[in-house]
Amino acid sequence: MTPTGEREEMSDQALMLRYQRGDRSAFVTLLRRYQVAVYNFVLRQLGSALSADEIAREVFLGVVREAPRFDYETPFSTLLFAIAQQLVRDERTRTPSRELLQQGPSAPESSRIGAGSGSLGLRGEPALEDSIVSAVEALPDEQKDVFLLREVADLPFSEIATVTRQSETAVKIQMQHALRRLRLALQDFDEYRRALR
Amino acid sequence: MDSDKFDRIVLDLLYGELDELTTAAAKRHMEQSTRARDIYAHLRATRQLGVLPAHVPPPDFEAALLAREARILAELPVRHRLGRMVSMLAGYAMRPQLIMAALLLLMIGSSLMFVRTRPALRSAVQVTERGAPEGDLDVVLPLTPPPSSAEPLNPPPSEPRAAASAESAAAMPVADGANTRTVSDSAPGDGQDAFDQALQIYRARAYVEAQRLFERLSRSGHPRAAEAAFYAALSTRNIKGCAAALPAFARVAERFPSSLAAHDAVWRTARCQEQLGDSPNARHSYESLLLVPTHARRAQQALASLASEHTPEGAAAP
Repeated sequence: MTPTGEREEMSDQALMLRYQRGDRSAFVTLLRRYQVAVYNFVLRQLGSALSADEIAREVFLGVVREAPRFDYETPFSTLLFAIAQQLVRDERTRTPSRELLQQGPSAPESSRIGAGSGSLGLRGEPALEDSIVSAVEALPDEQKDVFLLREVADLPFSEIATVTRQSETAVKIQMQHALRRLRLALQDFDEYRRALR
Repeated sequence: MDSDKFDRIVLDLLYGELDELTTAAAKRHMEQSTRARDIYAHLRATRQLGVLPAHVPPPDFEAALLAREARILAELPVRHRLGRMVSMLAGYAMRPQLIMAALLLLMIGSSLMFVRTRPALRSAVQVTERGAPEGDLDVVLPLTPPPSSAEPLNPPPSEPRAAASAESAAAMPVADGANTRTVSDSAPGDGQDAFDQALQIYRARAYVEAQRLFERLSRSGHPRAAEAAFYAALSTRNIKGCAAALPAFARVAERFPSSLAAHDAVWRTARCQEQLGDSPNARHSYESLLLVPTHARRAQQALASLASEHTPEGAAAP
């Protein structure tokens, strides 16, 4: 058996290969590596913690089902977020955003990473954080997809193009639009002016 | 770098997806262009601040997910489960240690095979008690009876004497079969040694030298001159082929008529004629052996085989 530490250093592709061969602990490693990113991606897409929990699980179960057909030339993260993106789209189609918001809170404050450590969000000011969240939620779906895949999932533009099934140039244009909208929401904050210096 | 190109790559620059050269070129461009510097500064500030708060999944997320994963695996079709098993076994098989072990076993196995095949090769040239090589199994050569004590060890060369010797050998009981010939109980003399020496050389497949020695023996009036002449002809066949050997076999039959060497020469002639596609003459040669007790049976079989080969397929049996 592969020691846990060694497994954690393995590439996604190597772990998927091991999972295909029946090593379930490789799947656990992949799950732990990506569960926060997938959960937050779905959460920011749908705005509902309940839906995010369910859909994020479905994303990983989609990986389980796709594992026998996994193509090793495709990055694992592309497969994972392509499944996530598809499930989010299906959910958006099935449930209008208003109903999604009624399904429950965005996410409990206690579940936020860094909660209880004295920090209020990553930039320290609740108003700024709310403004960022609101600005992202208000992005058109195409821009939100690209922004979240870049900022939350940390995918390179080439992978985002694969996941969203558009050209890399189109992806970058969507990203520029998203950043411009976000800038408009942030530019009145002192933190923004300080960051400009 | 111009402004258009900078606009195209500014996002790659922001997210660190540019190579070193282009990054350096973009930075040089920003040093010279206020507009470029301004665009990049705003993008960087937006990205720096526009970080969404991250949440962890619910506590039971992983456990519930793994339980469902286990159920999915259990419900996989047999084909997929077999595929996983095969894949798992293949994964173990591809481990370097196992590959090395397999190679080692392969090497040991092949070595054993070579060790086992050697004695077989050696026995292939020892199948006749007369010492004729395996390829000459159908040679019927009786051993020459020992010369009587009254006879000189080295008799004067005379073909009739050699023929008589061969004839007397022919009269000895000869079992049908390649390796059940009469056994010589003769004491080795000088002539015998010379013949045996030539035979050893023949067995060693040094046919040129063997031919030279057998020719000399056959001409010297050696007691086994007939056999020597036959072996000389066989050597010719082995050196030059059947076509060149036919006259040599014919000379044996002429020089030592009615001797076993002569009959063997006829037999060899027939085989060569058959090999050369000269079926009529081969048939004639085989037929000439039908009255020779030592060769009749084989000649009959050869004739039957020759007839079957030349019978048109599908022809009705009489």
